[in-house]
Amino acid sequence: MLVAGVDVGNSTTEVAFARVEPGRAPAFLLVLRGPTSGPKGSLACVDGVRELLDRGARRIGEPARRLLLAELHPVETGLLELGRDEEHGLGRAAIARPASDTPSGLGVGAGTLRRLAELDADPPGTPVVAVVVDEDFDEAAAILKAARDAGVRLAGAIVRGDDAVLIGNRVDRALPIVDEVRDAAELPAGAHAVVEVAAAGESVVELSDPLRLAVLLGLEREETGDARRAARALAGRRAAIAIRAPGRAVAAREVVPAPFAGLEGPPPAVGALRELQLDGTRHDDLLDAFWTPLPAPPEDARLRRSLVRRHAVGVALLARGEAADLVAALDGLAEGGATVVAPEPAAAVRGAATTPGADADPLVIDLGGGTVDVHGAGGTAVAAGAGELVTRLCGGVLVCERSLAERAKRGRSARVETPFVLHHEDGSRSFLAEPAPPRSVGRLCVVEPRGLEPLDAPLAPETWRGLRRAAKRAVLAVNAGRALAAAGGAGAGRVVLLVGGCASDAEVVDEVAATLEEGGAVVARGDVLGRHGPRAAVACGLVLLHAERR
Amino acid sequence: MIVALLAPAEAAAARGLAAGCEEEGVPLDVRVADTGSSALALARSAARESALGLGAGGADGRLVLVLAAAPGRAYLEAPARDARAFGHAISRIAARRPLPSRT
Repeated sequence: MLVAGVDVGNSTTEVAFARVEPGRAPAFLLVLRGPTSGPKGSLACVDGVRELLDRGARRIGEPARRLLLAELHPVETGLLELGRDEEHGLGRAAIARPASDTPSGLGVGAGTLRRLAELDADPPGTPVVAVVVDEDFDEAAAILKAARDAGVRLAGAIVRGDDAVLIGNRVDRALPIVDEVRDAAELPAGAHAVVEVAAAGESVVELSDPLRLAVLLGLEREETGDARRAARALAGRRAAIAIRAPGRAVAAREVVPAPFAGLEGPPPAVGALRELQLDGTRHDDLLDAFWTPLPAPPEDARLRRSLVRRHAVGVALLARGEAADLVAALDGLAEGGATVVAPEPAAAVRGAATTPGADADPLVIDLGGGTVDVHGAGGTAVAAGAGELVTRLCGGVLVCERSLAERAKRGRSARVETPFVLHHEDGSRSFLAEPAPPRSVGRLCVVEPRGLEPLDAPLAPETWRGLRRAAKRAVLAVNAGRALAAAGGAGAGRVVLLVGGCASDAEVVDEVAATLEEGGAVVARGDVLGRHGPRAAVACGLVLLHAERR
Repeated sequence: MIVALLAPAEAAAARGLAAGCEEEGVPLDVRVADTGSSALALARSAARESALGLGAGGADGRLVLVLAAAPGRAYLEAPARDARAFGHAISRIAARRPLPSRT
């Protein structure tokens, strides 16, 4: 009988086709793999399974008569983030925000906000921060020069267009001018404003200091908490503005709820947390919960601050789930129906045991999309958080969509230094035969066989590699350790076999091995059936367990 | 320095190109050519003159950038009416800074 072992993972669905006859070892014919077409355990997964079954039937010449499934538990993975706001309210009386990275001038200027037509509205000697909205740069420069000649004390300027350097070159190259302030026309005339510009390659120091920010804006003592948050948001930026509206009472501080209550400190041991309240939603009947912040480079304080101030936490929750609807739906895809054969870890162990040279009952760590599963002599443990959580963290660092983060997670990167020169992650350079696309110049790119995929994050390749590996370490190596501890540990000298999609990533294997080898374990990569590498352990294991029970 | 050669009919693009490059802090030598060449031919000539190997040409309502090391085709193109943004873009290529997302 032709059977199909079906492993519906969080990211990937794998199907192993084999002919099973009583008293004989299964004859494996084909293993197919495709993206999972919906949340694991949901009915939407059926489409992806059907597509693989149809492909298999076409290749083999007959359909699978029976589907063999593993018990499924859904995993929810997400990135919770508090600090992405670009503008920070300071009570209701003032705002502070970063500005474009192409300012003019240097230093801090503070004064009264005035449009160009009203530069002389204040008493002589009053410092003024000019607001340029619709005026052409030549016209704006002429007005500013004339005002200065007439005795106006110009402290800085805020420009709606991308004209700061053009205006600065014509008026005063030292005058702090920030540009690309899209809502410049709405800034309140008469308000007290502060403009700060740092030298190229440096960041603002006055507005990123909470006490200086409070002093410069004349904030009350009750508002210093808001100033702390705002100053943190401006740290690492080359230019920034802060404005306090005139004549308004100091607003009462709003109490900011702690959306990540419950996620303080490291996650508990596997299975120790049964319920969790997150963002107003109660999650109960949990089998495990895991969380970790965005990785931050210890050697770069500026980047570390900019990542830390986002208060982003990657979270994975493993709930006790029922996939009865999915099993019922899959039942209709094969003449002999669908059967749940075993839990995923048991199937993974059986599949991994086909690795040439492995023990018959090896200690296996399955590094999947949603969970890290350990199955050994001491028992089984399933830890929430695996490849998908690494993808979320990578997407959080790169600020990009999930599919691009997935590619960036797996691929090496390079910065396109010039149209012809690539700067690689190890610091080496290579020359391109054809010029890189204009969109990639000056950017960090994922290097793929089909070309360069630009990323927006302004990171050096070496820095991104460090963050990427740190994300893999924080999730997969830490979770492998958690799961192994819950399953009774490995013991010195014990061979641990890594299987699962993440085990095909050499960086992941390095990180997990480095952690486990500290405890004396010996880490090896699975090679399912001696030809599939670390993939398809569950799908093949389901077939083997089914055959052995017949 | 980037060199730009414009056909007489596109002379008006000079101000925008210069402003775009000045805002990015990249020097530009922009001239009106006295020949009726295409934008690509003008850009190739300009690229040969440019110490940075970056030449811009403007004719027939379009602006192109050519790399001296790959003169066979235009590296960047834009309508002549977008001269300011094109100036930003070519100077960012010269300075090895990412193109603005709106380009």
